[in-house]
Amino acid sequence: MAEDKLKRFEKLFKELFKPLCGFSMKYVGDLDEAKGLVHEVFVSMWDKFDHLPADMNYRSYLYTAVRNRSLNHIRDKKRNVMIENVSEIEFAETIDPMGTSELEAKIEIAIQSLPEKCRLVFELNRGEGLKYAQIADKMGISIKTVEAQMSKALSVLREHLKEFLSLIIFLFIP
Amino acid sequence: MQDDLIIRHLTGETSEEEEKDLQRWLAQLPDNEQYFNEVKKVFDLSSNQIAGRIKQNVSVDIDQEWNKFVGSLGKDTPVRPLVNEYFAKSWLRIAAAILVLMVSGFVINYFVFTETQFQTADNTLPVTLPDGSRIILNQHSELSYTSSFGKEERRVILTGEGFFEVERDPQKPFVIDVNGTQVEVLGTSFNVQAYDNRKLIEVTVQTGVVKFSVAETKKEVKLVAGQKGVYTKSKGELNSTINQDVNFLAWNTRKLSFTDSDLRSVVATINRTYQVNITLPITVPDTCVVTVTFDHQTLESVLNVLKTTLNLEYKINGNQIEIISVGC
Repeated sequence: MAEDKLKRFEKLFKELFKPLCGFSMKYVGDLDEAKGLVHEVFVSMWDKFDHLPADMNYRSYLYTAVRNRSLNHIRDKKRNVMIENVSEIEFAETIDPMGTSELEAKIEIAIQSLPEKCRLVFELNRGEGLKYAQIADKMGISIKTVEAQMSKALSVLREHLKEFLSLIIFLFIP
Repeated sequence: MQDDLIIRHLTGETSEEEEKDLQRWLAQLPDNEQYFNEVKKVFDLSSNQIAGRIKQNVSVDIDQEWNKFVGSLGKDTPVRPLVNEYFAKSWLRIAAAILVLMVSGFVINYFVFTETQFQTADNTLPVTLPDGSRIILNQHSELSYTSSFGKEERRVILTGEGFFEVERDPQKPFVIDVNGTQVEVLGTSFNVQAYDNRKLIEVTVQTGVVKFSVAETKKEVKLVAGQKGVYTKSKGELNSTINQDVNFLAWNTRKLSFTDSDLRSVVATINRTYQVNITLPITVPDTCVVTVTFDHQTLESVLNVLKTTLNLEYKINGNQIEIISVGC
């Protein structure tokens, strides 16, 4: 059981440590600080790992936790005070809620909250520029499934970003 | 259906015929165009986000970071150095590094000539020190001393657990370094448990007097035979209590004795002694009480005895033993 936990954790850690550092760097600007924060998040997750729901999406949990810790960190630095016991998930958007980095964070967390297969399809298409047929080939699924996953991705993302939508349109339509 | 078409358009998967269909649909109602724009915004934003990740150059040695993570488990020290911000300027870092190198070089030259080290895995190991003191190292433990041992004092470094029988020599105190705490003795026998992954450091005295001190907080307790000093790493608290665990040396003696002990503490003792992980059902009735002694018994026979006296059912999976039900 403990071995199993370590193995599962190692997979998660090795997959997400680096992207999470990149994500945190957008807030804190410094790689060493970002690494430290991401370590803290993993340590804290380790401590409560047994109590987390088995079906939970660890990715969006981790991204949310890193975002909140990063916000805490820059706030502490700004005000030069220590604030303890700020719960990671509950800490609300007290800083610059509509800032660009905050919007980016929302988008990233929205992407991370996609179901695994859906996210993979979407990232292969948008990140690596693969065509539907290439994705179907690579993942061993039909083109129809790729298409369905793409639609699903967009509708989940739209749902997540709904509150920002009017703002986004205002900001990005010249 | 319409969503598929819009997304095919956005990803450049549409045929000419489909493009015409889409244009026709967009022209039908103003709402259609607004819907299209919303989907396109979400699509553009998430595409930019994913493209941005790839551009970002983050250099991370993932294996090194993983080892660091594993190493930090069970310790209460944060991974992020607290002085980080003050060391932001790299020249300061370099200067500090040079200083540390110079000082440690000095220290090593002066005081440390050679180091002797003992390490255990799944075994225990008897060690005799140059002064005749004897130590039994428990599993997964480490003991080391340098060639300055016995010059002014007798100093060893321990991680893990060991039972010490120290030769008396009032001129040269015997000091055990454990994780920032020190155990200082003249001549006595006692057990030190200081595994990195445990929250406590425990010193249990069998004979004589032991001084247990914490360098960091300058706290110390004197312990006599039958007492136990407990240091809580996270709180920095050092307390002494009466040792109520008659089995604290069982890992070495292989003798276990329980008198009206509840099943939970029996299982905890067996886990510690045999370095296994036996788990119990969430609720165990208070009536599960054991009085029994074991002398050099295998884990299997210990389990067998418990099984018949308490009507246990368990399944074994390597080091993991799950007690499924209790019948007491």
